Amino acid sequence: MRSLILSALAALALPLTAHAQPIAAADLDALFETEPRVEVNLRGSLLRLAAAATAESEPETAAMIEGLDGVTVRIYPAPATERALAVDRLSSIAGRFESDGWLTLVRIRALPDDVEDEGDVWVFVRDRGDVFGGLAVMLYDADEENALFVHIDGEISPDDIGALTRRFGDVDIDYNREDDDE
Amino acid sequence: MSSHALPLFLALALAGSGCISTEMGRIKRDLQADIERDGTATVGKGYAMSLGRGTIGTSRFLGRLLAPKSTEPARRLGEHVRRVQVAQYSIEGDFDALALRPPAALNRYTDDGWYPLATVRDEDGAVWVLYNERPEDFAITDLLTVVAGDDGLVVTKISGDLTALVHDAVALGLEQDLFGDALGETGVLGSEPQSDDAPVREDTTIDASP
Repeated sequence: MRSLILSALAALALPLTAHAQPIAAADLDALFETEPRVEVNLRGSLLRLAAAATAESEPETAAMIEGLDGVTVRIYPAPATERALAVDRLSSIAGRFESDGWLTLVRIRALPDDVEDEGDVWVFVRDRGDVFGGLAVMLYDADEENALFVHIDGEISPDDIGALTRRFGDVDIDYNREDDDE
Repeated sequence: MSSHALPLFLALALAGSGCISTEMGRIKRDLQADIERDGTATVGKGYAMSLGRGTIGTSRFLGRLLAPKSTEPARRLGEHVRRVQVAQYSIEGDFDALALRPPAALNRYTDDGWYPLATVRDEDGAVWVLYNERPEDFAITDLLTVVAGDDGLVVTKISGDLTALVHDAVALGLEQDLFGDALGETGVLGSEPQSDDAPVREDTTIDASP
């Protein structure tokens, strides 16, 4: 998770979709049949606090956080021996996002026997024209042997996706970078 | 300002208090059963203390009287604190922190309207953080942190105007001394996100570009 970088040069021409509700955190716990190793729930006052705490030193970050309604992070233990099960579970969650009208921005499937295997990745967005109305990142982290779920609810500029997921999920996503190293 | 001034100041203040918190004891008993379940670790004796506004005010007064310069940041933060409760118990031996269940006593807090902010469990320890807010203005009024790890079992509850406390702590650069990783891990007090041009820790890029 910590070392994972996604270079998602994805298309921006995405259709408007329904205002779907994300999967409930309690449903995640039930799906993975265990309590998460890491659980973070940020909303309301905590997000205001995060914005206020960074207002002077990081005004752009503060403005970015102020537009958010909630941040949910869950990390479940998923040893390599149970990877297929974990990916199945994440796939089923992905299906719920898709059926709720979320757009699949990124999907990376790890290949069997891939020596550079970093894991399976899903990135979903709820499109609202020029901005996103929500962002969800799921991944099976082969290095850490974890299944990660990050959901960020609120108004999100495409330019802020990387900064948000780094801050709240420690996931590096480079989105829409024209100058990506090749 | 030395980074040791705040903990020292708080420690001196705590030493002047003899109040025992049964609230802390409930949480300890819940976790003790899990920690000692495998028979490889025991939770020893410790202390539980509670500081009220009077004690905190006295500490601020003494700090201003005896060491006005070095205690200034701590006194400034103390303005926002109404009550501090701290309990610490030693843990002898090894235990599986991943197997620790949330203390049942925490349910009383969530039943009272507290919110679970964060839970972190790994091989080295477990942390639970809950907070309470004032509905009318969403100000954070209480923060409860439970840590079970190498340093023992530590329960801390701070009440007051914590929004202002955090704001001032960040301004003074003392957020780590006051909250440790409790808020930092969640991103609330996170450092500035790396820019896209910042050096990458390790080049393990998965290129999803077309």
